[in-house]
Amino acid sequence: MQQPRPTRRSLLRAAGVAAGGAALGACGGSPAGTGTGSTPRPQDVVRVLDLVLVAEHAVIHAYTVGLPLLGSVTTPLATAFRQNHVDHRDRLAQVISGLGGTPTPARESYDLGTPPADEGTMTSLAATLEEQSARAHFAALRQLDDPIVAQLLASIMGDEAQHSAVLRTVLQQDPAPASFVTT
Amino acid sequence: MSLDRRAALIRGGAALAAALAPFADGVDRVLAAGDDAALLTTLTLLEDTAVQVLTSVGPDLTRAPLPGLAQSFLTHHRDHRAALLSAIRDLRATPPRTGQPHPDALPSSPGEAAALAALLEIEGRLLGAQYAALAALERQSLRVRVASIFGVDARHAAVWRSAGGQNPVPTSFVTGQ
Repeated sequence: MQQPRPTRRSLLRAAGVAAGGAALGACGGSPAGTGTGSTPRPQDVVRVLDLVLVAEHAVIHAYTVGLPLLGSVTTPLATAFRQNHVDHRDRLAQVISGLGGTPTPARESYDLGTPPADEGTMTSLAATLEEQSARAHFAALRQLDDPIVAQLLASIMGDEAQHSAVLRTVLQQDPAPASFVTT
Repeated sequence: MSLDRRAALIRGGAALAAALAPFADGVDRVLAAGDDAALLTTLTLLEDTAVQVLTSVGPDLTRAPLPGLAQSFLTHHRDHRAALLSAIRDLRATPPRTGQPHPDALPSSPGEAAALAALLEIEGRLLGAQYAALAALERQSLRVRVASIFGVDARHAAVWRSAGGQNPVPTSFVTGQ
């Protein structure tokens, strides 16, 4: 089946779907998962994990295209953060495959909206994408009932929250603007 | 119980014991991994320790913007402690006493470097305990609550590392290790 071309807008929508599902769960619906007390539904876990995998693909692409725009302070940060996302991607793909699913492969490019033109706009874009990706992982975690998968998603979310904090500091913004992660 | 979950509970219990040992009596609480109230009690005592550390070393942080960040992070830890206490009460369990001294968590010397080291130490213990609890908590709603705290404490750790001249994000997965 031909997959639709993912764009930044569709990534945000995907995160929103995950958040909406979580909200339904909070209203009495059952989270998907394989944990105790729920019917094992690995296909639902795969679907949710694949959404965050696509978010990882997009962030990796953004760093790849934006790296040439960065300066001496931000280049080492972005290089390291990109590698962190590659590690997230590989781990998520491994788990999806382990559950019998097929990880969505990366595309050649993703629509990032207005292309970054300089270091400032690239840093802002990266900070925004990191924030959205962290929230997407939190939204996915809310949807799943498997504690091991939740632990993995939280460990990735924490890493991306750290990226966001560092980039927000570079942008002279509050690195931790709230007491709790929300969707 | 699956083997994966059983292994996670064992790992979680060990990690929580390591996280709490220097700061509180009753390390045996953490041996009850799978007992949600006991796990939340452990996390509450660690948040309480973070409140005390920040209150104590805050005046030693003098470089801008560290004083403002310390004040903001202190508010976060107070909010985390309150949320965890509320969750314990929701379980109809007895919440732990907070506001107790945690002298072992405080630096033995004054100055910003010692303050940053103490802050990194307690944030690392918090993250390790929360990470372990995520695999050990029975209730999904409590895992979500702990994860929402974990993401913020991870930011704190990155900020303190950066302020201390360390790599702010040294690993791809935050586990508190």
